[in-house]
Amino acid sequence: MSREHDANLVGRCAAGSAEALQELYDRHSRGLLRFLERMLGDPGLAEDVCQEAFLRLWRKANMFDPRRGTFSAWLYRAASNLAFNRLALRSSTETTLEGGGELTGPGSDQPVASAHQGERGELLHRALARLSPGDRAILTLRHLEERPVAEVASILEILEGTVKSRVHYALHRLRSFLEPTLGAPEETPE
Amino acid sequence: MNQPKDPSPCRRVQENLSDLLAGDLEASLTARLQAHSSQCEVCRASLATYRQMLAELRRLPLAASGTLVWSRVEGQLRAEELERRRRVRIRTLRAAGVGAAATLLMAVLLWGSGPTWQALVDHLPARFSGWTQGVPASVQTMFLPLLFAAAGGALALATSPLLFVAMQASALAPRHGGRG
Repeated sequence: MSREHDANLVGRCAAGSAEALQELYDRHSRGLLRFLERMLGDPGLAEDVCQEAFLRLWRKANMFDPRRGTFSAWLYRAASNLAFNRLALRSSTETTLEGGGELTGPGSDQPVASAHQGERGELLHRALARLSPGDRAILTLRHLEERPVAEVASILEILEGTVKSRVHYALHRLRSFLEPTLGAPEETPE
Repeated sequence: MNQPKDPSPCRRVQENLSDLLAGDLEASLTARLQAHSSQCEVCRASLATYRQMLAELRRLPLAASGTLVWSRVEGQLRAEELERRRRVRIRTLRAAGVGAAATLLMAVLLWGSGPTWQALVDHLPARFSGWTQGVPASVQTMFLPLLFAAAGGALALATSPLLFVAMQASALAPRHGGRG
């Protein structure tokens, strides 16, 4: 029902209905912004990419084919492509988010809500920032947005096996950053 | 820390960790792994740690503003709409200009080399010959160009409002939706 309603709204959007666009925005923007902010680690950049994604939807709504997947996956795919492009553009001029070095969490260059939530939130943001944007996207979609592996693979245009191995790696890596603060350390089973 | 006697169930928990946390494993395997975890302190602690970590990440406050983004999207749509209308207006004016220039060009060509008044009079039936007498020489010279220009002007006057309305309607209707 929801899927059909989305497809119907996209059709109206392609015919020029701004109300349909607004309804799609109301239905999907919150989740998309959440995903983008976690993936990009920067609320301002997440807002820019979200805006661009909905403008792209407005201009290219006629390209959506409901037989090839859900509208949500289509929107998230467009947004994650835009986000990767932005990161690539940014990394050519600034320090990349990937790699060891200095952490570039969202609290490092601008005031964000996490800064007011105490050290714990800051620590979590920093731990996320140490993952690559791709791994953050996979982890967010799979475990924070709770999407199935097949849908994550479809959104990020990678193989399901790659999703599984990278999410596994991201979980372990994140835990290794946070382990000292998460409770008693444990042995890795053989 | 207790070491499990058989490491393979522990390895299976690790291998299926992501799906187990997401609740996406088939029921029988989930039951087996949970049964093992309830007996194995290492796996139990590991799963609890991951669950705690993911729960904290889900609760992490976010700062991006959806209201701000929508107002920017609306602003951008409005700006694009104005730009589209401006282009339509320019296209309409350009089409009208080209039409007027073509009419003028035809009038000039007829002035120089078109059929003359005399040729027209010669071809008229005799019963019309009385009508052509008394027409001033200047009008006789410019007759055809004037006739052509008058016809062109009348045609332009008659069609331009229709053309304008049609172009505006086609430009505004499909992409205008309910936007202001």
